[in-house]
Amino acid sequence: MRGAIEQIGSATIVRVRKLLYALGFMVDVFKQTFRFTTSRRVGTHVLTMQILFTGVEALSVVATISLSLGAVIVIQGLSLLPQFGQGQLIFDILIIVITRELGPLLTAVIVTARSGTAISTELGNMVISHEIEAYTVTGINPIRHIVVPRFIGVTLSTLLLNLYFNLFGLLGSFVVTQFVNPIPLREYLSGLLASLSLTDVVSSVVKSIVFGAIIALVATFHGLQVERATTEIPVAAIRSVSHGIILLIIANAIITLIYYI
Amino acid sequence: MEPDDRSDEPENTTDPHRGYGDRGYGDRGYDAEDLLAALGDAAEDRAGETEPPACRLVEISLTVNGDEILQDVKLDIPAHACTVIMGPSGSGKSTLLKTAAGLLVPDTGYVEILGTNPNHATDRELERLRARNGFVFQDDALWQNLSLLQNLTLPVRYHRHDLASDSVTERINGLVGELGAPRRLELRPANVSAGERKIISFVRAIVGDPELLFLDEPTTSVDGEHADLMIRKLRELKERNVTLVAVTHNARIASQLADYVVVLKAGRILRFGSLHEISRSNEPEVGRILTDVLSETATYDGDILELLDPETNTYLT
Repeated sequence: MRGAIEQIGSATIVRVRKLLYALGFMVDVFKQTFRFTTSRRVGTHVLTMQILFTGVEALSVVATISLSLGAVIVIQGLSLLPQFGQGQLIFDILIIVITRELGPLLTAVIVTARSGTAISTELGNMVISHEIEAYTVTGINPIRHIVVPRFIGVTLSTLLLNLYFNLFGLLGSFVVTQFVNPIPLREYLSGLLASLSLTDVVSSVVKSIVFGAIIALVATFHGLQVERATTEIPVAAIRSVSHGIILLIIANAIITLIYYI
Repeated sequence: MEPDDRSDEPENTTDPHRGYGDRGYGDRGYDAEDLLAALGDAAEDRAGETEPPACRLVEISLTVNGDEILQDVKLDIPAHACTVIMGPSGSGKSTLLKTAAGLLVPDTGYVEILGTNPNHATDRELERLRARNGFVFQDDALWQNLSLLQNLTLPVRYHRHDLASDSVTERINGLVGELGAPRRLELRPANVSAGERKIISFVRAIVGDPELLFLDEPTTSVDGEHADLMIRKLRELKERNVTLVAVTHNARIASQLADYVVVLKAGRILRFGSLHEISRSNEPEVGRILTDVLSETATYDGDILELLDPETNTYLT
């Protein structure tokens, strides 16, 4: 019995230490982000490349998913809602699903799958090949030079991809509407704008910024947790995805809850 | 640990390990003890004057995954001299070097580099301290996503905003030419040989004019001709009062550069002293380790013969 309690105690201590270490890492990233934006810009090339990879190269995936999603919502909504005389609710549903909920969340999941794994793998390889140590020993802060550009790049890209997601999702729904129940573009847009409030936009923007930050922090943290063996790299990538998605869903629930309070 | 002078004790002629190095390289029958004595003579006048240490390790212990890699290490690395760390494989040489450079944080004890404890320094102090150091990694550790030229310019651009890019390029080209590094610096590290990467790694470490240079097997993967160029450059740096701390199995580096030797075994410092003292040590274990380390290299490239041949042995003069 005593042994079991000791084991639980030591496991708790290890977890608390890891949590504190992760929090310390997060604080350091925030601190170095401030310094990165206010001092010399050696890492701007890394930042540009990160935005290109995360934001631009993911555009086609995001566009395809959001167009399809918008189309599905309209097809389902227009087949069901008019039966209850609530056809006009389709605009509210589009805004809730695409702008407020699934837009930021699905975009973040796509970014986690593409960029989160890539970042963890790349940083893990850099640890193994002593490239991170090389930054440290040459006096280049690896957090500022390696982590911060990825942090800013992924956060900005997630925000931009969310805007694209909204654009294509709402566009896709309009295209499908033309086949099911054709309405003029002006009427469609006015319906959407009537359902869209400032808090919807703020909620969507806040979510995508928070999600981007979570993805970047989790991915860089797990990448840098690799110590010496190449077999640790896929483990880091898997943890980056699983921990990332769990944190994204929790953060989404918290922000949505705040929205309704 | 201060440099040891116990080597002044009389030679133990009944030492059971005395014949350990008698392997008869070639027909000449040279043994490793003769080699060590020759190395000691060569280094006799090279030992630096007493000065504050460039690097101080105080009661360092370091455990990695349950293995105690370093145990109670106390070491003052003399400034403006070359200290060579030797020991069998797995004795903790590279770990000691990285700890001395402040790359690894010890579990107990502390390190002072050029008078600064890196764990107590602010970010800016640490940045300034790092700018005064250079480090050559055993496996080059070049940044793979950058070209060779970017690998060389990045540290300089980061620390020396005052330098014009022309003068940086000129300095890099000078060093690259001097050390016979690959000329196509626009290539990525993956596109050049391991030896070329090592030379670039060496250039990266010295391009910022360091006061203290750490070297982990600097000539591994490098052919003899280029290794000679590197050793010549290291001698030049030493003449300019740069402190060198090297982990090496290369007898040429030990013979031509070392002022002090650290003999490491199983994470403990077995002996520390001038090369002269260490090479004449009558401690069987020290002799056996040095013999093994030096003759291991010599077996492959004939260093022992070269070092003992009066025709080719220039370091003795």
